[in-house]
Amino acid sequence: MKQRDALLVLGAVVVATLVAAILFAGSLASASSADRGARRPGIFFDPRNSPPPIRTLVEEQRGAPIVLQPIVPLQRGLADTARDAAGYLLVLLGTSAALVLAREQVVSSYRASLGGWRTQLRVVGTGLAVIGVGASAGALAWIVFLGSLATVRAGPLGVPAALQFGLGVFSVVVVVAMLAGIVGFAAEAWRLGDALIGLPWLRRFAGVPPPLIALLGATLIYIAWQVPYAGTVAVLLAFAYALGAVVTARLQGSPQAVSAH
Amino acid sequence: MGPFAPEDIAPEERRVHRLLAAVPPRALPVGFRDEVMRRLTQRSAVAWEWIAAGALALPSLAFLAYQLIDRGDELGAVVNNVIAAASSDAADAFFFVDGTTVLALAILGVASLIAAHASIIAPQRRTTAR
Repeated sequence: MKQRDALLVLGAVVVATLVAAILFAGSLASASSADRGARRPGIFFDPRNSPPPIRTLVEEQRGAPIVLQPIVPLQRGLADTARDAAGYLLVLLGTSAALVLAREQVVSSYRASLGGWRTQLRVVGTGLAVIGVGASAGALAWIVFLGSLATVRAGPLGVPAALQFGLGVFSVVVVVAMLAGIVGFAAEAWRLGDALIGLPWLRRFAGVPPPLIALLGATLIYIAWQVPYAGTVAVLLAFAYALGAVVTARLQGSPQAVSAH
Repeated sequence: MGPFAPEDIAPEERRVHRLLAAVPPRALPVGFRDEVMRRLTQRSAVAWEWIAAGALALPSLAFLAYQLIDRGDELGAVVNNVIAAASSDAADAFFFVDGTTVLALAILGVASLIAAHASIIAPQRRTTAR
């Protein structure tokens, strides 16, 4: 094991110890006891009743051992932040998963989106066209499907089963599109991170590993998503770019495209 | 172009290919290949990834298991409420989740990714070693 690896292991162990202490403090602080009344549920969903009120910090500290009591405010703050940042964590996890599990597809999408502003426009245009085709085909498929339900009603299935079948098929199609979108999103985040690192005052960070650059790009896209009104446009463009990069990579890699060149 | 030139070489690559092909072959130092293969098959990178993944995953796994044992009934109630809400005409719903659980799930995900990376790399290195 090299010195760098040993340092990484040491860092991971330190982080793991800190995390373990925070999780342990969280478990003890949220545990129920007779003198502190009812506890707040760990997870709650109800269309009629609101969740019980959250305990005060003092009440939570009282439930933890003396050694862990200083950690409880940190745990509380971290828990609140993590709850608010669940979407961001999901974006980071999805990007990392695509970089690890679909590395070749991400790299080919990344390569397909390399180029000047014309290439970037072409990729976005391709993505918008793919979204248009998908939306149009989806709407037409639903029209055809709902129209054919009158025929199915007379058959053995019945309308509810046929509708459930249709929804199931539609969900599968959406999942496939989302998988392609995640691969493209990882490549897009990588490109965006590259562009950011390419700025004159950030060039000294050019040695940063590509996965971190991709996570930086994903962070930027997520921040853009949070901007009111403009965020919706940014997400649409980001999704279009992601799909466009995947489709362009697919077309460039196909034997027909190679023979055409 | 020589008889061993690749068939799919582009016109702009021909000069570079000709230049590189003109370099006379030179015997590599004894043990060079073994040294390269030894470096390629070093398992340290995989080893630290497994250790880091384990160190990160274990606390989160223990926390989530404890939550499941201690608050399993709450999870069951949530599933029931979600199913009931899906078939009702309720326009509003209240949701709350403990942020520590979110944190534990995220860390478990990161640890799993590190482990997945290590397990993907290991067979590739083994193949290279052969």
